[in-house]
Amino acid sequence: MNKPLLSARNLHKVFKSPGGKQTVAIDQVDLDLYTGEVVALIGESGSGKTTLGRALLRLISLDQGQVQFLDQDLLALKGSELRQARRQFQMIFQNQQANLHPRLSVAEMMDESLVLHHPEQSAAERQSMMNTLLDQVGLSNHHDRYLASLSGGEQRRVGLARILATSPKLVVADEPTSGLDAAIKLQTIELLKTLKGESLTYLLISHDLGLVRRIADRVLVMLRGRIIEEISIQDLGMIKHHPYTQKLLEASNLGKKTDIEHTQYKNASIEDVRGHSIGCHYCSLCPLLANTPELKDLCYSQRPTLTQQVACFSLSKERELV
Amino acid sequence: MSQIGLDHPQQKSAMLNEATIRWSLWLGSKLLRGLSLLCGASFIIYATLRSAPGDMVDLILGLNGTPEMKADLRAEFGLDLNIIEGYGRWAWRALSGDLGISITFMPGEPVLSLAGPAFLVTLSIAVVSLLCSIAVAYGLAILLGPPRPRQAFLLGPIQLLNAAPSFVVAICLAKVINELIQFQLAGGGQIPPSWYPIPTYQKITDSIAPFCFAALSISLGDGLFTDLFNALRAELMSLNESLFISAVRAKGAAVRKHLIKNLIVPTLSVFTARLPLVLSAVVIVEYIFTLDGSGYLLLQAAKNRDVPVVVGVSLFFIFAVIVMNLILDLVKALVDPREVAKGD
Amino acid sequence: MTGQSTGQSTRQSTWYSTWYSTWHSAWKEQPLSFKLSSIIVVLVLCFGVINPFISYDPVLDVELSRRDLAPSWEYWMGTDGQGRSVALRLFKGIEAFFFPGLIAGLFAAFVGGVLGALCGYFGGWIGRSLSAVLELIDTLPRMVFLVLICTIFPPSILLISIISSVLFIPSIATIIRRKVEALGAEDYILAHVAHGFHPLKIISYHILWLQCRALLTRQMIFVFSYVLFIETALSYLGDYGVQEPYPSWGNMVAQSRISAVAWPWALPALAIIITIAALLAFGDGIARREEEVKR
Ligand code: SF4
Repeated sequence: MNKPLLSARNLHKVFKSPGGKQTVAIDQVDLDLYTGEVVALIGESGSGKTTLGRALLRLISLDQGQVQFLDQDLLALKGSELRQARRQFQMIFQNQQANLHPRLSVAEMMDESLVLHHPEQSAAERQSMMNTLLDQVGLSNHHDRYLASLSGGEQRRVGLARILATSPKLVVADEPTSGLDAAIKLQTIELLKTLKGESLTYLLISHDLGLVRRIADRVLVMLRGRIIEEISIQDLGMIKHHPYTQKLLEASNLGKKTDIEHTQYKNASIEDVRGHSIGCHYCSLCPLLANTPELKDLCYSQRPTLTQQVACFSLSKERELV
Repeated sequence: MSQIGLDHPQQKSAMLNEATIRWSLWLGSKLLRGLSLLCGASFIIYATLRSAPGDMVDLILGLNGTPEMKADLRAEFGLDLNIIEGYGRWAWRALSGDLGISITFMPGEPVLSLAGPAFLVTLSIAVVSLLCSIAVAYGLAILLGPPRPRQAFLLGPIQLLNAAPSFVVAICLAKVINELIQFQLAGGGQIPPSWYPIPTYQKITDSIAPFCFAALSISLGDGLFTDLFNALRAELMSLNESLFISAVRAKGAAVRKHLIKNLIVPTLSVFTARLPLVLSAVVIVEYIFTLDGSGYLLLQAAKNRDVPVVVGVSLFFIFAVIVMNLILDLVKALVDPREVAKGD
Repeated sequence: MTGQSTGQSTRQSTWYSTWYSTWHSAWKEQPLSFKLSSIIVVLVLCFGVINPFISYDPVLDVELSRRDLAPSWEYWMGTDGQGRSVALRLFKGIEAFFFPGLIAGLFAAFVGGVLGALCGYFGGWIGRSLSAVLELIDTLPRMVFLVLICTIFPPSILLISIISSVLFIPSIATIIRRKVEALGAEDYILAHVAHGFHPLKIISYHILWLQCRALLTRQMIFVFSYVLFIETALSYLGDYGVQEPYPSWGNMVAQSRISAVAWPWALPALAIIITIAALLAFGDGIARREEEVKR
């Protein structure tokens, strides 16, 4: 296989709240993204998807791990090098208003980005480039509009146009369709698809499986900071999944969010000295354990690693046999 | 620790102990903060003194200084040492109560005995005017209830007039009263009444009138009243509408008690925030009403270039503000111990 | 700010008609107090700017034969005890505080804004030690410290205004710091970081200029009015500010001690009150407007 565009190893991030409580947001995650593919990161809210996406782009500091982007060690970059590198990976924020500055008009914002990323261009070139970009996202006559007078979908699209101005290689899209009504959602998905072209890579963070099915090539499932399963899009729903994935799929088929309470995982498995649980996060809810009670000790006391594309003792073995 | 019940006497005493430790830690940190602020601020003053152009001693004494006086002054301000050591010497002397002696304004008088009593006058004017304004602001806020557009016609002009600097208010007050009295005097040639504020008055004990007028002009000037009114009214309104109070009301408990308890802290905060500004305002107002407070002293001494007195009075002001802050912090903590529990 | 109201329709029209229509519609929405106060502020600005170009010799103006004249067509505000025109002196007195106030305001707003932004954005060690120093300055009682400065240094109104602007830096920096801290937690600032902007550009342009300029303007106006206050106060006291025979609103008010009639001191007093009130109302109005636009 060819070299990944971005490869992350052993990422680790712990948040400390002022009360001294620690939450593991990213728990030893390994991740490879290849040029031109769309990888979806799914999981319920609070599972660390957003944190992982932001950490990969160096918007949040990591406690541990390496991130390799092309040939650069991303975590070692500093100052102007980092800013230079940033134009190759961009982010669409979940909060659509976050993609825009409230006091700048669309044209001002676009111009600002173009000046930043194409300083060699003349004003006229920038103007024509801005027009092309805004046409591309379907906002050709919104130059003088401000954040407050744009709809949610339009705000996202301005954000997109702005991102395209940097001609990035990787775009992390954090819930790009949340808060949009169905029609606009479809439009946005189509737009994302058309803009993708050959060489753009998306990391799509979402719990909207409809969106994921439409454009993703590969799906990663996250549970409490760990990636527990990796599924290629053809297999999604076709094979026996990790019980947690199964639950997510069922919930989405019923058209609702998962009803698993985050707190239910707590204190389930054995904890280490810092109070971080070691075993499988799903052990207290796992239906598989009913059939294979002999695995129980293992599940409660050891971390399942991602083998055969799933982090589950029982399933890994099954798949190995097949 | 969190699971401990209060039933066992042993554990109870442990809890008590912990509370004492937390309190003393809190108090210690507050004291340390106050002390470091005091040191820093007095250092700024000392550094300002040192940075005076030319020889400071000549500047202070002018032409009439004898050599011993000069040497004395040098020693007092530690002028022959470097700035840090000099500050140490000076601060130590100041701390032990030796603020030097007045040179030109009231020659030979120790600064401490000049500035101390004078400062009490100043402080009481400031506190009285602040407290009165707060009381009136609350009264008006309760009377007017929540803000309505119509009240703008009443409050607008008040706010406009209240923007006047207090010294302008004081001048106008003094002048108007002067006119009124002169008018009466022309009729009968009586002795001025006891509340007549300006020329006949000699000592603070003679008449309380100038004191009252000073306090009045402070309250009316510098936007003091409108600021207090706006802040306290907002506080009152939000508290009145808050769920907490409605819950209490639903339970039928005494609302007033809770209201008062919850208003103490914001009121004190307003008081603390405003005190330094009010103290500054008192300086000129005292001068206008010739009250022998520290503002009058300061300005007279400054007129005579009496540096030790000016410095002494400045130190008093700084000291007072820091101490008042400490006291108010303590009161706040006693009313609302959550502050302490948070810890630093 | 006003772009959304004009939108597409005015694109063809000339720049001045666009400008006029936006300005006009914005003006109409303002409350009466803001209109009045901005008129007064503009007047003060104009007077302040043309002041240096009008020569005035206070000694030549003395004419005892016309002392204490009541206001008339010839002397709009009457004359004072030495027969000088009160109106002319009132006008000339603006000079005493205008440029010092402007300089002090700009200086305080600039330095306070920068320091506040640095504290708020970087936090940590730098932020903490900076705010400790600022807090220290804040403990100095302003008026008293200014008198101390006047005693030690040869007093000049410029020195006084610079010192008072330094004394205001902490409070401005604290306000800006809070604002910056609040903004720093907002996603759109993070989005600007992600987009690759230089942190200095984000602080200075996206945060300070675009989001804090109303606050800073308000603080600038506040410092200006403080310099007006301190200048008139010191001139009233008569030792450090502007000295007779040169006019200042403060030493004109001081004539209340000797003047036989009211207008030579009452009108300057009124001028002080109205100007300060207008300045403060104007500053509040700007800040309020900016907040409304945001919603
Ligand atoms: S590792 Fe064990 S507990 Fe976790 S999902 Fe697999 S079988 Fe269930």
